[in-house]
Amino acid sequence: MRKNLRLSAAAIAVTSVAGCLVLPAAAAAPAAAQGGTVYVLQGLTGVDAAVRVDGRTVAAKAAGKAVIGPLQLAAGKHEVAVDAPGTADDTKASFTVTSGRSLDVVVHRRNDAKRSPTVTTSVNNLAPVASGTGRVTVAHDAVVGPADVRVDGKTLFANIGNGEELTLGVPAATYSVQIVPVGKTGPTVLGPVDLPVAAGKLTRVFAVGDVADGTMDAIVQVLPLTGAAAAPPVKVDSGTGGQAQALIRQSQQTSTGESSAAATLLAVGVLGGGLLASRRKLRHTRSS
Amino acid sequence: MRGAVAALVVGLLLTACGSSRMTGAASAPGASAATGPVRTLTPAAPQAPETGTTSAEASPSPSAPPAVAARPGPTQRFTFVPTTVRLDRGRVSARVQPITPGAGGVLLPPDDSRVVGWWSGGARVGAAYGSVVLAGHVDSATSGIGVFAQLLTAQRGDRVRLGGVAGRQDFRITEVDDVNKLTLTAGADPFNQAVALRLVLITCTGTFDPVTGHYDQNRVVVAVPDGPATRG
Repeated sequence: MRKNLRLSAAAIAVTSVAGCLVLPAAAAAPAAAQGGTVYVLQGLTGVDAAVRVDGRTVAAKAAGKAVIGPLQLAAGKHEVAVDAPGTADDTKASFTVTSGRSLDVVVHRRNDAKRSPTVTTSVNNLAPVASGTGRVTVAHDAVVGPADVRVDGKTLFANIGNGEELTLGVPAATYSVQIVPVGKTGPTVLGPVDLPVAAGKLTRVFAVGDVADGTMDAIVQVLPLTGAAAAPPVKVDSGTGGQAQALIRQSQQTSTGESSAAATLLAVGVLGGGLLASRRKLRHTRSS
Repeated sequence: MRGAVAALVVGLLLTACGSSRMTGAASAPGASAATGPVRTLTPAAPQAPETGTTSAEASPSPSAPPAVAARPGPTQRFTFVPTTVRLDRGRVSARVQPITPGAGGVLLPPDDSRVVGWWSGGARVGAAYGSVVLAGHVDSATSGIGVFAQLLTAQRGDRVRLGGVAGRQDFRITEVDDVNKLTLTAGADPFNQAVALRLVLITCTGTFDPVTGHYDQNRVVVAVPDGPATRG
């Protein structure tokens, strides 16, 4: 990194806050400047906003919940500015793009609606997932205290505060989702709503808006993962020498019938447990 | 019991219609049940930027503070790739390496029968859902009787510990079964990811055919978490 020699007082202040150096506009681009992908999320529900990136208008009038992009931006620092009615100033922030990465830039209200909006960035994790599953990230960008996210009646994402997020891999399915205040069984913040989760995709849910003025809502963004999920094996060959044959015979002779009991348990679908026991029973029933 | 049967029937109908709705254990939604039809959250269609994409990096103005990166919530689940497995019965341990199926979808453990393979297309240790699948040779023409021969004497209740670079999770064996190799995935599929997290340990058993160099059965051992994955 090259130091910007034209330091002004304001630039020094920004540098101290950011903890990194401000690059001059004319800096030579790094060799691998393929850039990164950016989406700007307009999380100020209930208002239309003008959105600018690096001084250029990318959306003259973006409705609340709009997802603007994909933008291809060079690696390095950029600026987003959002001009919404009801806010005295533009909401502005700088963010850093890394080559080859996908980044969400979310403009949203804080927990306290009286304070000005803020901008939160989040890298999209596009690494492959286990076959038949999707990656779900739930982010709290709403005017409400810490919340639990209940999925099919069970808390799967607990205690998320404004500006925080949680990630979980789940089997592909459509889930009933509810957002409730932490630890309370009181009025729900959002939902129940149905959320489809596709296999091999990143499904991002951003809770946005304000319960108090009825603008509480969720933005859903689905991105494909880089690299396909692996196809499951169909066979396992795990013995090539035959030396264990005697051991095997011995263990079969001393068995108290536990193996056959286990086989029976397998057949009636007692395997697996919890939330998905009935689903596994269905699979076995259909194939037998 | 009747409720469970009703859920099963509903699940069957939905499955037949091609829906993938989960019909897990129902729990009362509380006082805030929706009064109308349930809304489906649909993905936003991204809108293309109106003035083309900016390509060069820019100098953000001094009045633009840096955006804050989203913080992982305090309950973010810790997951890791297994690098060691320890079977309490027999007090045996082995290194674990990632493996993927080869031609024909056949999963082969590492040649060295002292080393066990982890199917990298399955779940990571500590996940909420999925099967963490480990496969090891019961024996090898080149390296003798394997660590996973110990599975031949596995019993329900035995503890298995998986270790990672900076984490571990314990499991308790709940099932021990021998299945015909050719029907390994026909019934209860050991590679199924649509289950609460479990550990599946696979080796060979049955009768060895010296002509083909293969056994005819798989020993499949299933274990469930005995606590969450922990760091350290």
